[in-house]
Amino acid sequence: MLTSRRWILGLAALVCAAALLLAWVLRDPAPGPGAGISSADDPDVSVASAAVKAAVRERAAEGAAAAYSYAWETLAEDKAAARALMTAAMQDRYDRTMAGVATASQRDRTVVSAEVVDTALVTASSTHARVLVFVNQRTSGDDLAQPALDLDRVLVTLRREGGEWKLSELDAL
Amino acid sequence: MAIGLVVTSRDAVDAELTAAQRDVAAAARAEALAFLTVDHEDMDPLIDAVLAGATGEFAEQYEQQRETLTREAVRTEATSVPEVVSLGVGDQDADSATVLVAANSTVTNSGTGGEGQVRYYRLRLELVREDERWLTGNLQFVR
Repeated sequence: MLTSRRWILGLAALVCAAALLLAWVLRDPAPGPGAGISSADDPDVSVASAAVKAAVRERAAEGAAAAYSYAWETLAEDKAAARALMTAAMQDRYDRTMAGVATASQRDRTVVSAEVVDTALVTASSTHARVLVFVNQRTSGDDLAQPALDLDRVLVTLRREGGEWKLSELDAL
Repeated sequence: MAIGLVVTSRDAVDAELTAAQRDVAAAARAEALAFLTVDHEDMDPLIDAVLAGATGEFAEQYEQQRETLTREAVRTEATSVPEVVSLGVGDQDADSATVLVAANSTVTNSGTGGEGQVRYYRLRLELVREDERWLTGNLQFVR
């Protein structure tokens, strides 16, 4: 009896793992060119044009600042502003992250402001791009004796959808 | 036919810009790694390696620091083994460019008790093209 129950639990765990794997595969259907590249001297980098370079650096800065900033009093507006710059898959990941901070941010009256210090291009085709962004993130709240400052390095992946560059990945290094 | 399809399905790429970006990025990687490498047992070649990729104000200041750097490395028994985590190119024209580097370095010294500690760095390098080579004229930690 005990043995068969263990067996069923094991099977259930396998089914869950398979479902999670499927969800992951569905979420990121095609990484696209540029995936896996993190440095501008990689042999596979491309620069589509000076205009594309300028556009993706600007959008990466805008998107990273929005994604890493929120205030407890304006959480809904802050989230809407950040989501507007993301692909659907990125929005899902962002929503899950923010669901975890919503309750605590109300309780502690958390204000997080992200300032983009600089941006640099890693790679950019006409449809996929990666940008290295330096972000200074200041956090204040009732749970902190004094504001905290994080000096972050973020690798931002972008994808061109319907003529607009959208954030498809945010990777804090 | 297959080759034709592969070529036409590729994204438009500015070959000249791509090559220029790769050149300056490779030079900046070498300089950032040289700058973050420390070995108290043999500092001279490490300092020479930094100077080989340096020019202008940065080269002058670094050369002036040679004795201090060596003395401090020996005194604290310091080693630092860096890796580049990510590197991108900012504004670039024919003879100047800005490069950002995210690097981690495993550091040991008399204060770490023999254990390696990982340090996280953000660097900004200003490079200039001199005699067909990209050299670093300014290097800063980004706060």
